[in-house]
Amino acid sequence: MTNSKVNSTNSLFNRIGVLRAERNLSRQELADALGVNYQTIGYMERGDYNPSLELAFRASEFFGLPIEAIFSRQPFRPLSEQLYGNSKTTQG
Amino acid sequence: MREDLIIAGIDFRRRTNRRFACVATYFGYALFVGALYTAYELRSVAWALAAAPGALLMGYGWWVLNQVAAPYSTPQTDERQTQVRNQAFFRAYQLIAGLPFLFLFYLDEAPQLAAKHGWDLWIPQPGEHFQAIMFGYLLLAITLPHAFIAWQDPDYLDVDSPA
Repeated sequence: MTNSKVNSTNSLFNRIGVLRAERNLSRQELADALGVNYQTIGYMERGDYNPSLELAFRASEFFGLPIEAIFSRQPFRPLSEQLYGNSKTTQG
Repeated sequence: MREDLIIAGIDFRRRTNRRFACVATYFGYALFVGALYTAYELRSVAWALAAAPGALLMGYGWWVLNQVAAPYSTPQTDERQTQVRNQAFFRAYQLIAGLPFLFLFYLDEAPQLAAKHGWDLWIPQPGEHFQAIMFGYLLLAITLPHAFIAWQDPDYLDVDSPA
C-alpha cells in the first residue's frame, strides 16, 4: 500500500493509498475531490497508472503536501521505518 | 462497484472472463457463418439451426463488450479512461486498416501459388463469400476497440471498490 510501481522501465511510486487511509477517505470521496473516476484512484494505488502532472498537482493541493511527498521515482521507505528506524539505531 | 458486469452469473470484472467474451464474439460469428454456408451447400435444416447458437454467442459477447466499455464511451471520461480509449481505438485502427491490404494480397497471390505449387488454397468467390467477409469486417470494425479494452484492462476486483 505504501509503494506502487507501474513497471520497471517507467516507474513512479506513490503514497496515495496511505494518505487516503490516514484521512479515512473512500476512493469515491478522493476521486470526487480530484475530479477522476474512483477506479482511477484504484489503478494509481495499485501502480497501474501514472497520473498526469495536472492530476499530481491536484493531489498535492488536496493533501496539502509537496508533490515529492506523494510521488517519487524511487520506492518510498515505509513510514514506520522512517519514524522509528533511526531511533532504534540511536537507542541501541 | 461495477455490478452491471455480473451477467447471467458470470463475473466479467475478471479479465479471464472478459477475454472469453472477446473470443466468443468472433468465434460465434464464425460458427454462425460456417453453419449457414454448410446449410446452404447441403440444403440442410439441421445446419441452419446450428447457426442459432453461433448468433447467440456472438450477440452475447458483443453485448458484454459493450457493457465493459460503456464507461469509456461517455463524454465524462477522466484522463486515464481517455488514454485507455485512445490506445484501444489506435490499435483497432491499425488492425482494421491493415486487414484489407492483407486480404487483397491474399486474393492476388493465392491463385498464383495454387497454380504454381498445386496447393489447394481457399479462394473466396464474389457473392456469398465476400458478403460474409464484409460483415465479419464490419463486426470487427465495430467491436474491436471495445474488445481491446476488455482484453487489456486488469481485474476490476482490486480497483473497483469505491470504499
